[in-house]
Amino acid sequence: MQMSIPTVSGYNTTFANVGETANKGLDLSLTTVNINTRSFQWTTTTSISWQNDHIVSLSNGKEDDINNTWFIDQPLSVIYGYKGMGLWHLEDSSTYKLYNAKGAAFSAGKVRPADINGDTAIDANFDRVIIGNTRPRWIVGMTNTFSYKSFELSIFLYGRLKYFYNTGGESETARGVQRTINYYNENNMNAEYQKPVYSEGSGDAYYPALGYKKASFIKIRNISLGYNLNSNTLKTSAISGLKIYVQVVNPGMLFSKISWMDMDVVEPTYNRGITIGLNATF
Amino acid sequence: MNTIKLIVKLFFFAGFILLYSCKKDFLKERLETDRGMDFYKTDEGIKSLAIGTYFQVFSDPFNGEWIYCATNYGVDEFSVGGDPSNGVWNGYDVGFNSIVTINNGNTALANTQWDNLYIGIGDANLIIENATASTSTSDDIKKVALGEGYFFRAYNYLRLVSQYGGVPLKTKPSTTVEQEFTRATPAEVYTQIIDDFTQAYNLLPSAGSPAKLTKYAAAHYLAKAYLYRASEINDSWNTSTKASDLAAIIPLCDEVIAQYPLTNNFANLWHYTGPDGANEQLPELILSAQFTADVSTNGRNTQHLYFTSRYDDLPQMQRDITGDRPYSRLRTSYYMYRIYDQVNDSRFWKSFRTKSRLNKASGGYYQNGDLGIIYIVNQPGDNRFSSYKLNNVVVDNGTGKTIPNAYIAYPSGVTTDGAMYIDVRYPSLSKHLDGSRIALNEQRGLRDMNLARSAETYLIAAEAKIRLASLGTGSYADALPYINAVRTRAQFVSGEDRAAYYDGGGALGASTSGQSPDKNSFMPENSYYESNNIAVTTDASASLAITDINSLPEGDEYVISTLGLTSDYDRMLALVLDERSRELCGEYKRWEDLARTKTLVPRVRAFNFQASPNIQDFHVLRPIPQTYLDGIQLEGKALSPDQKEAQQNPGY
Repeated sequence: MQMSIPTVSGYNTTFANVGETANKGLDLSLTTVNINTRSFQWTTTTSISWQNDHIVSLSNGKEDDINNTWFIDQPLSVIYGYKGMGLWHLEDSSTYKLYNAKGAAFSAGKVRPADINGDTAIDANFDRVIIGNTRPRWIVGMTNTFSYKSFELSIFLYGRLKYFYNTGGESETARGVQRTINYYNENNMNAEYQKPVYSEGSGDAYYPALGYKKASFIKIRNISLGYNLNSNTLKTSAISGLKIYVQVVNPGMLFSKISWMDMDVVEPTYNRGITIGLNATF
Repeated sequence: MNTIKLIVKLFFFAGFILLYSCKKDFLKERLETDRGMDFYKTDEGIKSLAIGTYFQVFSDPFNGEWIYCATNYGVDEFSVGGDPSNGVWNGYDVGFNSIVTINNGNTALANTQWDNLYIGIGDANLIIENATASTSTSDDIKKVALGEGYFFRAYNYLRLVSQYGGVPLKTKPSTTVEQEFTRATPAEVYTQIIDDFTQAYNLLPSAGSPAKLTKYAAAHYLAKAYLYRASEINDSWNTSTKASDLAAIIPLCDEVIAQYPLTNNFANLWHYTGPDGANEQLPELILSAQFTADVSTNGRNTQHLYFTSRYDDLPQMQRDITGDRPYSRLRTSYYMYRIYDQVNDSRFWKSFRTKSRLNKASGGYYQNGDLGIIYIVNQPGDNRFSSYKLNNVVVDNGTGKTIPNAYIAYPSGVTTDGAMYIDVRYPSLSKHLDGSRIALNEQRGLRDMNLARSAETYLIAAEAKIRLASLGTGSYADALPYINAVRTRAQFVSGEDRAAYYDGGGALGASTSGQSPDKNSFMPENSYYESNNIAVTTDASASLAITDINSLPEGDEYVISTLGLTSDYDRMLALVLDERSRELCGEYKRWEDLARTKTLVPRVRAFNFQASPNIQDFHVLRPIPQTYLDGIQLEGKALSPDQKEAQQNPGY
């Protein structure tokens, strides 16, 4: 596969057998009939899959490869960078002044990166870490079907759990088209994102650190409600069966760590639909 | 009666799948391509490799933003205009480090320049290796291609060493993945550069400029490399080479100057009427990056975008091809308004756009063709204007109407610099404007970019004379003939219309856009008379020649006193650096000139209002890109954080 290499060699990338990986996984599917009476049935199908991969060795030996974000004994796909510790606050001023004395420009409302080696300086060589894996550890799905007399209700849940997603952070450097964000200002000090810093320089240099998010979610992908009419009820033989149904696609999340994105389709926007249908059998 | 049935189905789909070290052969991949490296062993192959390297080394840097970031930002001539996408490269703030945080898709990363230069070096190494090994008896291979290979390599190493200091020396092509690199000393890099340029000088032909490399291009750059090595930034180790380097510069420059006479009118250099037109063939041009209208070529010059200030959002104005697409990245500094003799030196008026034609008349009073925007570049003490910005107040003498948008460098009572900095309006450097593009928002420009012209050769020689004088060889006045040659060319000649103006925006005739000239914002006129407030004259201007090193032109004395310089050497170095600005501003050289002479910090503090609070002594070198430090190994091991820090330039 393609990998990036030091450009001093004269090339950006090369194709190579880049290393060895190991992968463990488990898929489990379970269908239960919870209630089964003449007029009421409830069945549940649950599927769960779990996977855990890691890099065993790389073409350069058992050495981490930061530019390709490949790390020994770590998952194949990880985020590497400064870890966000939220924002600096007014009460931290004695702490961030220590950093400013070493050339930083922190102030209340700016992003607080984690100081991994604790030397009161944020440095690319010492303070970047593996933030987390980007492949979900768990993928879960569940379909519940209820039928009561001629009614049938089905709900499909889907989720991915235990992984990270890089939302990119909020640069807050221009008046672009953008979603509403909870940013720091004098009246909102307990904010999620840093204060906007507009200058001829750039915004907050560490803003990407606030973009790495835990991404777990469980979503209701589909709810459908149907009502079956058979020819006896219809008192006609012209139609042998008639089904009226209402289907809601993407009604919403049961929970999602990233509220403003649909992490199922990995987009901030998605389609939500209601279908009303009539299914006639002749 | 409820019966509850429970059915459990358990499927182990995959159970435990443990992929552990399959047989090695199973994973073997062989990448085979139609054209292998053997192609470069043929004459045709070497020549096509050389053509590709011309593109990589000379043309490709002008497609994008990093080149102005590395050479025109963070200096005295320019600062950030209305769009700060790459502001860190000007401001030297904390974000300027081995990782440059991406603001938006336009951000030039810390490694963009580094990578581009090393890719070019890789290509050059391939040329050199294959041309050396070639058994061809053709001069095209053994001499031309080989000379080109040495030139390309030295050219990129000179850029690297002047940006980063000592860098890894790679002089053989890689055939496998290599990760063991370490930085050489600046002395070693300069030795390589001077060897390579010398080889190029001996091998290259004398004809073919400015599109093709010649021995004169090699002479110009060899002189430049000697000058760089003899500069202040290398003072800790260059004592043994300094005197001989400086002495070697003069004959090289004289040889180039004899072949490449200055164009008699400075404006001719910028008189762009269409791709590959007359201004791109002038005898003054030693080397240019080539761009053409041929859409089958990759060449894409985007530099016309970046120096232009917004005009299209002002009253009575709209965007058009001749006004260019105003990216507003590089704001002209007040330094540029102060250093010229604005009455007698034509260069400011021929380098900057000070008037725009009204092109969106509305309201009945104005019509297209009136004066829409004027920048009055006056001098302190002028009390004619009440504010830096006057809308519908200043009267245009031509039409008798008021001008909708007027900006004034020094309003009444203001003698300090910076009145116009409140806004993001400024007279745009027009050297790169391109009205021949196919549409008003088209980024692909077609103009050549001059890389070396003999005016710079004169100034290299002048600086060498000044440095020799400081070593006790000759006198400072020896530099004056070289400086004066450039200065006197810039005088207005008898009969010249001093208000006449042209820039590349006027090349609409070569554009296939079909834009009506009535929509032009380009106006063939400058604000010379409005700014200088003198009577119209067609006399020759007073001589710009300097005769006494103790009495330098007013603009230079202003710079010298602002910087607090006193010694003859410092004054003369300031003069030559100012002259470089007057002549070469915006020609992608400035940062390196200031960094190597260690004048970057004082000049930025004095003249770049955005960077002055942040710049520190260590900023004379760029941060080594983090991607390089993260990618290399030492004895088979990735570098520890401490080892990386040891390879980084101090301060980053």
